[in-house]
Amino acid sequence: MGRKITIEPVTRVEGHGKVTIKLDDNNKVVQSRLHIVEFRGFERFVQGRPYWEVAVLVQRLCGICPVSHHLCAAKAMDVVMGVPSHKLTPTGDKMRRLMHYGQFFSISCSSFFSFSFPRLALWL
Amino acid sequence: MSILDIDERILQLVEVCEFDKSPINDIKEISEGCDIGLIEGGCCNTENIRVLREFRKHCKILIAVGQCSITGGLPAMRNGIPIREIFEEVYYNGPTVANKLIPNDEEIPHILDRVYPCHEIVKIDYFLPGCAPRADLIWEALTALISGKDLSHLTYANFKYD
Repeated sequence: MGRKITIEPVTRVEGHGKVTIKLDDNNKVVQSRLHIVEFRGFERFVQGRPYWEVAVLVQRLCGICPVSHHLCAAKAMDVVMGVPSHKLTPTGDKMRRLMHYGQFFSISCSSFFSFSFPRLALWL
Repeated sequence: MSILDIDERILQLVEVCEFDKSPINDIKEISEGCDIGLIEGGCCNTENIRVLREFRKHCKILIAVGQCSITGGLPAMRNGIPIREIFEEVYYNGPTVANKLIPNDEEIPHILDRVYPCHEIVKIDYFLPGCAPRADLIWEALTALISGKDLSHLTYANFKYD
């Protein structure tokens, strides 16, 4: 019977994860898996809510990239309301793009400075 | 994550305190005799409860940070719906589900019937509300506790409840 290595929690990503690696008697990897341990059920509980709430609700999916989820919900609500993407007002379109660029900048900073940097530079 | 919003003040913080289990230093288990424990998020599976009880056992002061840990927050919206119905929607009936299978692996903690706020599981000493809480509130609370005061005089303007 081989060994099992468990890495929990996984801290270099936002969210919750767990990695298990199974080794055989010769310490060769037999199986390695990433488990997503968190379950929240957004798919179900956003149903039946007023449509304008959804964009704000799904922001809580992720503490790093709330705006990406917000924009995703906004696009979905466009479909619900029957507004094709080329019918968006130029101002609306620009605002969404600006928000997305801001998010991308912020997400890259958080990812680098709080997730990767401690390991790369300080070897924590 | 919201503790990172205190920006460069985190450098002052590391001068006066030592981080134990945290995502920054990647320590997996909490060690004994911690002064202050910050806990975020409610309890939605058995692993959350285990970690919370560990924190209570080893921390002198336990602070619930953020709306999820105080009231269950947004995930608690599932509390009124039977868990079976949610599983069926998520893993069977969703429009983008490819492999219809409810995960049931020994490595995955059991999902609880509802989302529990932290104070329903263990005693919590202080609550810092907000989603996410203001950085100034976290900073003020931490500096007060480190200098031996209690949290009865936090600035009202720093509280927010959304």
